[in-house]
Amino acid sequence: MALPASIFDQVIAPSPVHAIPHHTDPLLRGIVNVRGQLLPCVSIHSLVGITANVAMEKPFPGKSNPTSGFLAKRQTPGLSSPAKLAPKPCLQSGQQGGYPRLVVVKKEREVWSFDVDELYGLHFCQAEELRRAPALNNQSLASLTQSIFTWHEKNVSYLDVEQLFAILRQRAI
Amino acid sequence: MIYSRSEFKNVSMFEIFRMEVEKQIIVLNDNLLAVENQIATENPEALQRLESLMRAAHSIKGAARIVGLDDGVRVAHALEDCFVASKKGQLNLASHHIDVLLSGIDWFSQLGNITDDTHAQWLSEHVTQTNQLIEALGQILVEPAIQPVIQATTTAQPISSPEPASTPNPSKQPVRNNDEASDAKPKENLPPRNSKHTSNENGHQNAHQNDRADSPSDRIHSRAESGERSPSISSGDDSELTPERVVRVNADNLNQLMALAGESLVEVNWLQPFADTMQHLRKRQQSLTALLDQLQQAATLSPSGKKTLEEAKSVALDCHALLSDRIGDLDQFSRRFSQLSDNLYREVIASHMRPFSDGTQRFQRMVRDLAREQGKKAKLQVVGQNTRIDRDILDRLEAPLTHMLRNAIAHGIEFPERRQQIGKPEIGTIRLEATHRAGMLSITVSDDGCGIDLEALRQSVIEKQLASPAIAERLSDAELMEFLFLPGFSTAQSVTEIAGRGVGLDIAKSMVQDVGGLLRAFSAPEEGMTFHFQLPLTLSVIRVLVVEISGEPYAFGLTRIEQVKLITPEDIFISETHPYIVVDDETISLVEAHRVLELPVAEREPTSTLPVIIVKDHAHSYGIVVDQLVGEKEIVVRPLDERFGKIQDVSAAALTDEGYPLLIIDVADFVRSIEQMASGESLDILSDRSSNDTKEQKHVLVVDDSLTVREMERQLLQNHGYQVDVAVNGMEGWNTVRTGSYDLVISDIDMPRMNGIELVEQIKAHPQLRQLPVIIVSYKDRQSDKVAGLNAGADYYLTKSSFQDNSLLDAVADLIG
Repeated sequence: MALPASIFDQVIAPSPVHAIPHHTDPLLRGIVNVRGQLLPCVSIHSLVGITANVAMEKPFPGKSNPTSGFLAKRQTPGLSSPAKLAPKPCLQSGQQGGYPRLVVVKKEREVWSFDVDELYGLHFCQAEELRRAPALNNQSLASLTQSIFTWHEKNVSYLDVEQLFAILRQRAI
Repeated sequence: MIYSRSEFKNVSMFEIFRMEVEKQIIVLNDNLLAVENQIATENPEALQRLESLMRAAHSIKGAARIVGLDDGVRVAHALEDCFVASKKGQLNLASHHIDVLLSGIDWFSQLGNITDDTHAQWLSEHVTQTNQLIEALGQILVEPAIQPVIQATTTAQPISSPEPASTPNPSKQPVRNNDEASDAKPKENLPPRNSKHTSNENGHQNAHQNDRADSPSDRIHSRAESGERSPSISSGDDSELTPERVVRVNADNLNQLMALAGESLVEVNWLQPFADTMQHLRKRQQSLTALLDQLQQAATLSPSGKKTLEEAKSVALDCHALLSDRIGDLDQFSRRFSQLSDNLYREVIASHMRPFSDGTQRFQRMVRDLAREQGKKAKLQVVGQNTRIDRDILDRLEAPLTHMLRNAIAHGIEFPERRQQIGKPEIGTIRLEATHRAGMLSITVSDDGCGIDLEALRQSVIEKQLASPAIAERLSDAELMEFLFLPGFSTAQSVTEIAGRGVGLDIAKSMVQDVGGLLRAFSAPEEGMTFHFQLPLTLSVIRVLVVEISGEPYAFGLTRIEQVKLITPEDIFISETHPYIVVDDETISLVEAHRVLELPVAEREPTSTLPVIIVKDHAHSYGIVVDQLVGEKEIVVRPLDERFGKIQDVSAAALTDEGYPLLIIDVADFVRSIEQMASGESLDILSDRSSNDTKEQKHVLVVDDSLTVREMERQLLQNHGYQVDVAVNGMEGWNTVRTGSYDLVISDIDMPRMNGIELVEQIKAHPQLRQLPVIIVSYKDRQSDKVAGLNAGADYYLTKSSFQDNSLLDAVADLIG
């Protein structure tokens, strides 16, 4: 999955997320401390309907145990900046173990954080490489996908930021 | 005077002038009012205050000169002259002098409020007033030096002389008028020039201009009174003569600073464990050296081997020395750094708090002006000026406090004659008190005026058809007082004593509710009225007990905990389905914290003891079973992200020592959740037993914060075959409505924590609940309230008088049958 680079605010090592009482929707995982600020942390995995993810099990406090095979079957992680930034070599995705990260995204004054299984870095992408999103069998992912491009022989969903923030605003809290 | 544009080019200089004026005006107002209350200028404190006044006027003069405002220089100079003369004892400042001086200060505050490029315009528009002001100020000096006031009151014969001749000339442009642009009518004119009378009489004349009933003998008395009251004011007033220097900082920056300071405190904690591992390394190194020693003694080596071993030993010793040295440095650094970040953190937190006096500066002046305007006598006593208050709360308190002080003067404090008749001191006292009490900020506004006649209030409630006579009779005093906070309540013409009391009280109430506090009114007829604010100390440091629930840290404020106990399974008794324990002969129901919070069960090894936190709310005690006690700790309360709104059972968040988030339990809320859960369970049991009966019963949720109303509605509906659940506020209502299956919601509007309008909006915005019919039943019967209710999505809007007739039942029947 990819998001425009401009909305990335911070990327830090995963930190324990504190659940919110009475919130049963798995979309909102809770609050997390990002450099002294307590931010709401959401689960993009649950938003796009990726269930098989062991890495999302929250260890608290800090006894992190990322298990192998956390790369979700349908998930194609990746980060791109369409036609904006200089191309950077992409990190090769490791089959075993990865580097889960907590990502903070910010648009205007609205800030959200979420965990990713791995951050592949910036990818420079030409506008013409972006293809219209095909009908995906994953409903929720389809509604979020603005377009598709190919990266390392994998199809990457380029997410619609407006849509993403709108859904988070509505559903997460 | 000619002002050319070019003189006003330097924008930043004007900004500095403005700030200077703003700062000095506070000093001037404070000290001038204090001096007024200490007429005897021989008093060393008064002299000190006059000194401050002189300095302040002088500073303004200097500032005005720098920016080239000649008129400003002249006015400041005239003010300064008055203060100098007064300090030398050549002039005794009487109330009417103070009026003129205050108008001089107001002139500056107006000047200070002007945006830069219109100074010249303003000055040329106000040139007449300015000149008159300067003249009036000069006039104070021209008046003959007079006898001290207390003597004058004993020889006050001149009062019998024809006073009207000396009243201010109406044709003269009133200078005082320009202090409030919005105030259309001149409040007081300037005292006459060339007055033949002594200054204190003139002061009198002014003070009682609006008070026709005032008799000469009253005046003598009042003068004597004001002479006497001076010591009491100065003793009760711990105002600082040297104000703190204050700068403005963007609130976001400040929050960011706070977050970073907190983070640095957490980071420091990493250093000590690191130093410990270094110590460990040193120990290993020591044993290495010891091993080398052993080797040297035990082994027979070739000469070259011996040499190498010697070298190895000396290297090991070098390493040891170096390591010890470095560890010492690291230890010192770690200590210094942790102290530093601790101080940094404390300072940042302290910057969020301001002394109460910061918010009360204006009030002395306001009380004085209002009382004079109305021909009443009142003094304001501020207690707890140094009480530290969160700046956000202080800002929001200003409007409600202003309002209550106004009310106290306008409706509470009686006219001086009346007060004398009933044997009260002629000068009414308004007390404004701020203290920290039980982890809350408590602010009390009390007056010794006439209070509120509860019976009259009860009648007014009935007349306004806010409640039927039957209900009104049953309302407790406290419930009755709640009516005061209804919007527009006091406009009832029938109860003159309380007319006007309630205007704006609803605004005060909603402000308090916004910050999660309480506002209560108490009244003792003929003895006065008291408003009591109980406000949270958000963003301040609190002591908490940190516990683990469902594997995550939570904190209970220490002030809210009755007791903490470790219990064994043998201590637990079971009554029907509820487990309980007995502590000091009191039965205490046990609840598991994770069940209340709807969190998963923690995975942990079964232990023989269970930690229980006993909390108390009103009459009931509950034992909350947590997974584990972590420890007592001082934490900095951090507000939760605004997007969360109010999270049920949680008041705020904080960071643990490790830098992980922890949530602070809102105990009052938590207890309500327990009660609700308990009643929900008992209902479940009931409905299981009589499932056949309840099947056709319609399920209604009643949300109201008044017990009386809640019970009324419950009984009424139950008698008509509905199954009824209750919730005590909007937040609880919202939480309940989402968990249960209801056919109808009946809600009040004015409720703490979430009002009825918000509740309706939430329901109507929820995809599953959108179809759920809602009836609003409120005391608010204005058209605008109805429109607001219906716009929010309510299906019916009824007033509380609907209990008497059948309109509520009709509406219910209409909606759900």
